[in-house]
Amino acid sequence: MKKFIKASIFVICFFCLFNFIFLYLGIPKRPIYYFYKEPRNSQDVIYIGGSNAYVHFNPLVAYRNNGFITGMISSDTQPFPLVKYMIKEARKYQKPKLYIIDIANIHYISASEGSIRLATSHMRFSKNKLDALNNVLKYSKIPKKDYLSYYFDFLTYHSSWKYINKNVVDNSELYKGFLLADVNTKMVKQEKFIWNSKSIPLSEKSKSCLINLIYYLKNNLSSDEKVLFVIPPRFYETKLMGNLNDASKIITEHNFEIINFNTLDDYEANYTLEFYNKQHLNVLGATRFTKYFSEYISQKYDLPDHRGNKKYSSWEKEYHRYTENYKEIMGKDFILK
Amino acid sequence: MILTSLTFLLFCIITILIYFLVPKKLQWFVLLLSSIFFLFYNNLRVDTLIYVLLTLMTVYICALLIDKYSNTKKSKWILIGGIVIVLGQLSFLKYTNFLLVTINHIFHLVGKNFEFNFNTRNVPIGVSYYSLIMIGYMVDVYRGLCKSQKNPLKCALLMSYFPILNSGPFIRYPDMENKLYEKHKFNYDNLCRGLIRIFWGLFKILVISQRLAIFVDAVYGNYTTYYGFYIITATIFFTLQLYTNFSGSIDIIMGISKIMGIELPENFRSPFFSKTITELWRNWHITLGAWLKDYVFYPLMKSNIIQKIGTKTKKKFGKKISKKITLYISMLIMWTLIGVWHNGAYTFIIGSGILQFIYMVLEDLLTPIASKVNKKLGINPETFGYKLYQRLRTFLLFSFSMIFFRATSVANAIDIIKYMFVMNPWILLDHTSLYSIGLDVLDFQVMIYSIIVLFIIDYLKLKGNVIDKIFNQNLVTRWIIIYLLIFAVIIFGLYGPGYDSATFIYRQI
Repeated sequence: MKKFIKASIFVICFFCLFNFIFLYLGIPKRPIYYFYKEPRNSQDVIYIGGSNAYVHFNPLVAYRNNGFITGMISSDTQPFPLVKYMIKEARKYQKPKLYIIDIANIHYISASEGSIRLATSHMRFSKNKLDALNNVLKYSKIPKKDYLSYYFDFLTYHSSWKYINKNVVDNSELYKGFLLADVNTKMVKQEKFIWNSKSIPLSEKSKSCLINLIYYLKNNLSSDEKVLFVIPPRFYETKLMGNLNDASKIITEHNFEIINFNTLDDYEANYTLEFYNKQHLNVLGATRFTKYFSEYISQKYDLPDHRGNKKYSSWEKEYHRYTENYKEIMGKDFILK
Repeated sequence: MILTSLTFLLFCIITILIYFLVPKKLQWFVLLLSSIFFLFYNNLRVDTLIYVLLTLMTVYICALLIDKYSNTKKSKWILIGGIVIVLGQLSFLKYTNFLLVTINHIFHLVGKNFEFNFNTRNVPIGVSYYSLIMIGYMVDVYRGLCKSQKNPLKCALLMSYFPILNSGPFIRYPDMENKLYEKHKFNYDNLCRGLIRIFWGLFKILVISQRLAIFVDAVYGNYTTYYGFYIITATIFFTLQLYTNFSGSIDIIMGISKIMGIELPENFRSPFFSKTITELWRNWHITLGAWLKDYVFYPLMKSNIIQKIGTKTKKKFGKKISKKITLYISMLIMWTLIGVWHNGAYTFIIGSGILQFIYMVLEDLLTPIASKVNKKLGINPETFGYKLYQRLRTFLLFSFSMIFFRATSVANAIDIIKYMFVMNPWILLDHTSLYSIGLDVLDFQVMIYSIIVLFIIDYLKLKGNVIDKIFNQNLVTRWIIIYLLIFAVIIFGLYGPGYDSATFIYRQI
């Protein structure tokens, strides 16, 4: 019995050490990692999508402006087959009133290694993670012999000890899921983009993923949980634009709301000042976009105001850190209003 | 099924669990079933199954008959018959192509335009090991060292015990009879010791050997670009790669067996602390050396032919020289066989056979001269410096022979040796040169530090059992050492996507 207890303690210590070490030996942390850090049932909105989500929408701005709390579950080029599982994951920890689903990656079905890993690596180990991986790997061209390394990340990331640095240890570039780094503080003039409303049918796989997602939402979400699909402001290739028009049609047919930020009358991205590349708003553009969007959803979905609530003091602290670092990077104060 | 693969890990876990869950009298049967599964998983097909069964049936029946007709001439002929069948089969499976290549060469040399075609044959895993083990078993029965095994299934287990099919060690029936078939209780101490041994083996393979392989492959693959000290460094690294790879696999195998309560014979004893080539071979692949000594060398020395040669040379050259001649002839045959066993290729025959023989003969002839010179010059061979020189000399000579082991052909080996003698020692000081060959600075450092750890452990091994030493520490120190070992393997090991599972240089089919 004594030996059994000793062995059990040894194994427990091993797993604690293992978890601690592999917290830092891994792929760069993306917003989903910080999603788990928030208290249970504390978030009003869950925002799911690719880099457009966590580069365009600043939860701190939304909180400061309208008082609601947003959880970001996004990662670079998040493969579309994962969206359903991200919602499932969100529902395990939060009871949000609204899910915002960015569909700019609706065509991204056969995902690359990097995008799958960035999206799933920091998901907590559960049946849902296994299902998510099964689903996304099924569509990918990843060799089957490498599948195991997606379920057990350490098989790939054990060698990342070479890249350990301060930034990896405390990923200071993310602020409640919003990115503020050198890259998105640049201002690169873009050609004005004009939306074309011509529809191009989605591929079979994209359509099947979208329908599957819609049925999941219809069959599982309560009446208190709303869904809003978005097409973020940016440049799109003709085919993707056509696909998004087709997707919009399907979404509307199933009675879900969708906003296309490229066709609104009262919001238009500034292609001279607000982008750092064709697909992404810079921090100025993100602030204006967030202000507009948070105002809209706050009113439409009756979201609560947590400003001044001590329970959410971490948001005030993080906002303070954000403004300080913004000043350091941009050389001027962050102006919200 | 590679020893460092997750499949093998899973296979071992399942086997060990079943092994301890079934009634103890069935434990050996679980091992047999696992071994059969292992054989089939490693490409055993109907055609190769025939070879396995033929060996098993031959040995089983011969051993029974040898036992029955013990101390009669019949038993000797049965033994010879058994050996011929098993060796014939081994030669057919492993050396036919080598023979055909040789014949083709001869045809080519005499100007004939005829060539034998040869094709790759499906060979059962471990055939080089189990063939010799089974020959040893028949000889032991013949010599009366043990009784024949009446149960054919138990005989099959001796032949196919899965841990040793990959890289040995050679087992002997009289030593293993009780260990393999007796009942084993689960023992926590064995589990801990076994696991430490397994992780030490993984450390050697995944942390050291895999890194060395990257460097060695890059240099040997481009020896016209990487000449001189690059080749010298790569040759030294290859020797270390071979050692860590082979001894690492043995550590894993011994660890698995230990958990099941089955002690296997040691195959390595800190070979690079040997002062002579003879001593090195006493500590390197110990069980092969011992097998060949007992079943080839001594019988050969006592054989009629060698005795006759002895008598003839004694008349001509005197007793002392005659003794040397018979000894060297027996040694030459044995070392050629060692080379052939390693693989049917001239590179192996030269590298791990003939060259070793030459070293040993020179050692035998020069040692008395060296002693005299040392005496005259007042050199004390017991000093640390002199011992270090002897160890370095042995290591470098052994490494040199390994060029043939690593080369793709004898011509290739000679070419590499030619390119080796170019003076560019500055590449050892100019760090960027070494770091540009497959391994970056950090990987190179991890490799060097790990090799230092390896040598320290090997040195401690000379002083006693290292695992015993770990277990004599207090709990905290013990756990820290074990955690360091496990995490060194997990973090610094080269495995997972992007790395092919370690290929085992010594894996004999």
